[in-house]
Amino acid sequence: MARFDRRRIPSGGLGPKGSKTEDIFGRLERGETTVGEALRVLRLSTARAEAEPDSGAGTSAEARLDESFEELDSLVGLDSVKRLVRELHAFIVIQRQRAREGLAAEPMVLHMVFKGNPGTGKTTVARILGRILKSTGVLQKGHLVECERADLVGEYIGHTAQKTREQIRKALGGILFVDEGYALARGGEKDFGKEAIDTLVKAMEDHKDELVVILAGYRNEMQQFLESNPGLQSRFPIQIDFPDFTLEELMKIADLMLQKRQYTMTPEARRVLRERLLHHRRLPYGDENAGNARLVRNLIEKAIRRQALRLVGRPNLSRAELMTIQAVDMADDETGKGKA
Amino acid sequence: MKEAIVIGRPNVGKTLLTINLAEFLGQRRVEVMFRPRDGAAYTRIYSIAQARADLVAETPHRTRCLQSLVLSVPRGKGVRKVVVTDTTGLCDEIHPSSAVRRAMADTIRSVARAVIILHVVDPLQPLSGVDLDILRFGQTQEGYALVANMMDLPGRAERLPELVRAARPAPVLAVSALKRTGLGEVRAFLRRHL
Repeated sequence: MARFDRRRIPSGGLGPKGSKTEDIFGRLERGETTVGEALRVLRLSTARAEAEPDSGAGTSAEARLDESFEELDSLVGLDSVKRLVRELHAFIVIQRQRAREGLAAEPMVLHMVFKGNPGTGKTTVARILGRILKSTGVLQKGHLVECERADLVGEYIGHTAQKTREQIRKALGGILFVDEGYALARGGEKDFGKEAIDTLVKAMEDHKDELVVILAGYRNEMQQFLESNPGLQSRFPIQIDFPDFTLEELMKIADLMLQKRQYTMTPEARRVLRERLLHHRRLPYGDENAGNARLVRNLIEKAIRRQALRLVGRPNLSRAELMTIQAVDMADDETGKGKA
Repeated sequence: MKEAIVIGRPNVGKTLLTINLAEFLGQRRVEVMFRPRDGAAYTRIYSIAQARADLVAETPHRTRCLQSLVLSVPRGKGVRKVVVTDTTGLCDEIHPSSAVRRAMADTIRSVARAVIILHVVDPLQPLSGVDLDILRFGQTQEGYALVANMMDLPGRAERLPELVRAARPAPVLAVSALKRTGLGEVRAFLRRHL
């Protein structure tokens, strides 16, 4: 309760305007002026502050919004996703303004389907989206509740609705992120998954203004899932495709991940990593992990562990040695060589 | 957290309104943070009855410093929290006591940063002096409402249309803090502006 919204008046003597209002408070205290006079000064100064909105510090919500967009932009690749998120934000803002002007405003149905392979950034984007929706005031909390079939579907009659409602309750004011959403329709007609869908759909209606549901999963499976449940398509008007990352993007992700962990890799290690990533792309049936940031993370974390194993017990390690990932660390376990 | 402040002349029922609003919103106890100028802020937990007994007086200027409490306002199925700051009564003339003057300065400061301003008046007294200044300031603010208190007492209802005209475009909420009527409207107003 210590943090108050100070958006109207910059605290303590910041800039000419701040000092002017501070001044009137001081005079009021010293008995040099009346309350009425102070209020008049205040009215004039806030009227001026509103006329030149960029003079004071931005509202904290705006700052948070900028931060969220920055974070979004810092994600590697995902250009189409970024564009869509911006579109969405613009849409919300404009619909609001239209409503204020008394124009017909589209209802804001923000339930979404995220389609893409694992590790293509669906959860990350959902989390950022939650913050953006919070900053724009659509969602109160903007938090993300992740769940999957097992969290929603129960084991006996009546259990499912109860479990699903529990998850919904947790997600109110934020985003309910259903991973592998298609799995809800897995068991056929008699499966409780159907009940979970029904409960979810009902909650989406009941809590229109305080819940965003995101169903995420593999592209094809999600497509089938939506087609087999005709009512769902219209309830999830926003469908975002998460393409696999390209090899270059994966390498960039690797660099970022290493940087964040304060490691560097030698050019040879880089080459090995590249080859291993390429290898995954060449697998017959198209490895679903091939365009996948999680694959990169796993490879890197493995390399970090192997570097540790290589270094442990050695005396006099330099800072550079502690930071460097070499080709041997990055190499595939089975062959122990640089080739994947 | 957004801040709402309750302001007005001395003895119009600002503190009673604040406490009874807390009770109306389902709070059994209130945690009041006092922010005296000389010394650190401190919090004290009161039951509603205790708060009424300790904080409300029939003499003016019982409230000598900002007193804040956090209220949960239900909004849809969730709740929004708001800091409600009860303030020192404002008067037209320069007050002789420096403590009261300081408290008034703090009050005006909090006016500047509050998102919601509940301006409490006794409808029997015509709007004048400091009330008019608050009203004029409030009319430029989105979250301002004129709260016509003491509606349970005789003569108030007749004056209401006049207040509504004067306040326009700001809304007027007719309440009785004592009899706890009209608090639903106050809640609705808070909800709209949180």
